[in-house]
Amino acid sequence: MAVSPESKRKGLGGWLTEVGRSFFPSMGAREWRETLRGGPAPRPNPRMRVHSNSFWYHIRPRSLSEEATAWYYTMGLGWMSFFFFVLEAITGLVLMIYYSPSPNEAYATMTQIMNDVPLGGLMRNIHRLGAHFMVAVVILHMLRTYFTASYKAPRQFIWFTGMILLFMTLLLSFSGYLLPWDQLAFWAVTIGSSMADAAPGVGPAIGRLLRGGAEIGAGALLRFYLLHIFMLPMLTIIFISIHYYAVRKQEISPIHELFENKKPTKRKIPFLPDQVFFELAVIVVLTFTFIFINNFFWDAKLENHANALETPQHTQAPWYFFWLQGMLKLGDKIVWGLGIAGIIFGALFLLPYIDRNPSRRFKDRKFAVAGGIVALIVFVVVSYGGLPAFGIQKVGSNELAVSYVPVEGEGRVMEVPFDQVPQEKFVYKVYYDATKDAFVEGEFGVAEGPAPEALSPVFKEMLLELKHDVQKWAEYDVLFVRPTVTLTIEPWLYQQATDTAEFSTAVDGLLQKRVTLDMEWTTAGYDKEGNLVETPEKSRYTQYKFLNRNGVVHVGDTEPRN
Amino acid sequence: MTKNIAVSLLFTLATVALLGFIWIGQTNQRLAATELRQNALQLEFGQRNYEQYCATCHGLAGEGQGPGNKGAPKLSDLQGRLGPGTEAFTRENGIQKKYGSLRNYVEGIIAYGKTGTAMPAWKLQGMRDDQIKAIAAYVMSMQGGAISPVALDSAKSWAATTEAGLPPTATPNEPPLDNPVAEAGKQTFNTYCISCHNKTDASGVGPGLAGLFGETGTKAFGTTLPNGNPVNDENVLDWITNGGGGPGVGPDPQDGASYGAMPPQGQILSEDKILEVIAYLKTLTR
Repeated sequence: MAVSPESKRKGLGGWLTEVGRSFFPSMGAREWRETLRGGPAPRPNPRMRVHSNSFWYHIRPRSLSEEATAWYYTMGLGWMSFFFFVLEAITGLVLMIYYSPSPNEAYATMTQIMNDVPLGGLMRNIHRLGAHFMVAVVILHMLRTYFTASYKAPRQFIWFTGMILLFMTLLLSFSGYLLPWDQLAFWAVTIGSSMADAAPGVGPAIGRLLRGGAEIGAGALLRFYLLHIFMLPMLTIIFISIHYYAVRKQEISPIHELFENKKPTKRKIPFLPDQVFFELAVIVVLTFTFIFINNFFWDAKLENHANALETPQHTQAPWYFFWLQGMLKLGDKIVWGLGIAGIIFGALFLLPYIDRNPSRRFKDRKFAVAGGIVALIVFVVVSYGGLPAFGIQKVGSNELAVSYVPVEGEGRVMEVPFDQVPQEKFVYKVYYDATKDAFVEGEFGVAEGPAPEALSPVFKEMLLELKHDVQKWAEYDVLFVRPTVTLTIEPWLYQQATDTAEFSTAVDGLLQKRVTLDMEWTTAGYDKEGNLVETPEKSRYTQYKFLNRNGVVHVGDTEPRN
Repeated sequence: MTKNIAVSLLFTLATVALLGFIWIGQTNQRLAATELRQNALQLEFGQRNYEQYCATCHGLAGEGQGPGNKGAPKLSDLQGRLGPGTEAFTRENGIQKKYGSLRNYVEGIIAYGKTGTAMPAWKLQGMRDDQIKAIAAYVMSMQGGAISPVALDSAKSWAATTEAGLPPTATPNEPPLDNPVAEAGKQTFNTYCISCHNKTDASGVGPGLAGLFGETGTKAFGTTLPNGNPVNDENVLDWITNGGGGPGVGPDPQDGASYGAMPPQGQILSEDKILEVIAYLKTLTR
């Protein structure tokens, strides 16, 4: 090993210098100082030496053209995708320590991570939100590349690998959906994997391979886990390497090619030290911001334990699959869900080979840019149409039950703070009054206790909303004829002092209230000619929900509220 | 560049400070708040499971003597009957010695049942640990007069309507059978089988078993078992010992439910016991 005369030191200092040099050959303390200091480098340029001798610096270019670093051009989106990938990997590793991929334990380990592990809830939040951000950033990166025509020759292959990475990102995000083993996980993946079943020929085989059986169960959980933590990340790392290697080979497409009268600049930004410190600053600021958002403004939800026997009312795919949901509503599952979606993905993959126009100028790409904008608008509209709120025939009684007293999750009643819901038995009735041709409030007030005037304004507002909603659904759902809706609130359980060995029989305030929504309406149906016919029978539907005093703790609250 | 270094240093410090703040805040408030919420979720989950699995016998509000089994004990006074300070808790080999706490005892009874009573071993029926824990948490929350009078009233009216809708089921109070073997089988049936199988035509989790050995067979499957074998002593013994499940078990022609899920009982019941149950099944007529 070459030893520079500068450091013929003995002892620990000398040993450290030797070790340091074995990582970065012939880089002593002086060379490092020269490397990381601003201003022109001395000759021979020590920055060059780091780039050629160290793997970690070798994978970055020695210098970037000033055009490529302009913030308004690439916006660092590709870099940011990688940032999120690393963030997901780090938080994912932390979560893996505590998580166990078996249906009996998965949910329990999730609650353990959220309750008992120091910073565990934060790690989960970051991992969940980071996944959404990563998908968003990757999509934005693709859009930027499209609109600046960076996919054109000689960079077709970069676009192609980028599309694979987009696909990987979606799969990574989706495969992680199942792991918490809560209701959202279970049903979103049930829908997702049933899409695979719809494919003709190999579809059912793929579905079975993915789930390890006919239904989502222990096999599916293990398979999704392995996909999520091993196979997909490995493939993603490989394709990131290929993608980035190609970017290094071809360099970032120059911005001056987009405009007619813009001159290329010759100025270069050295990677060491300017760019490296800039990136460091961005990493630190982004990390801080992300932790801040995740701790104070956002909470990853954990729903109830997965239950194959209890289907939630509106199961929905993650937001980046809304467009697919929207398309499925347009028509046949196979044609729209697989045919059209397949064609769209295929066209995106092959875009550089379809768009043969060699010019990158906006002036020459009017059609492509306009087409891109139209496609983007269509994408947003179809995604919007994919929301559960559109295009699905709804049953009034169901909708009222789901929005006020859902079996799972938070209902409208739960938005009222627990203490502002009446403490005594309370009945509120809305029914149709034929003489006034309107919905009126019937029984209104508490059986015992405070008068209606003494009710909290928030609670009253909720009652008023219920009246409007009853009216709305009676108009919308023609089979929901003249409903009578009763909302009952009853005290159910009182808090005990303790349930430990030193048990006390003293009760300490209400712990639980039961809210019952009872709906009765005239049954109606269509006859052979398609006319609406009312029958003398009545239909009835009742659902109830318990309000817990400690039920919902909002992020940032020091005191739990309902 | 100097600016970037300064920003990096500043935000590194800020991040460390923020993480420290979160860490300390978590142990004091955030974790406590999350735990409260999880406890409430558990209580709600326990309640749903209680209504599904336990309320039929123990009553909606734990008042006991529910519509499904008039012999089921009251649960809302467990603390007074079995809790700390009572004889059952403190005696030699009592609850304290064997289980440590009343909650553990409740969990144990839900999981492994109580021999000699109709209380089934739910864990062996496929109930998960988190369900058992949640139900126990709910049962514990009932103790000490915590249930409101309104809830008790509503539980009573629920029991009345449920009872009116339920098919008549034999209770442990029915007169003993003449045949001592069949009588012993009845006890076993009431302990291990009745949570899924009715003694009438009505389907529960499994098919009703009235008339199994009769000329017309059961309502659901007639004179064959779900696996296609004819009903006789040998085949029924095999079915109970080894259970159903697996391919070839078709849906019930009556209501479309699949009855392939009969769990094997060979590990729980000896062959003698099963033969006694078969002797008892022969007494059930349609």
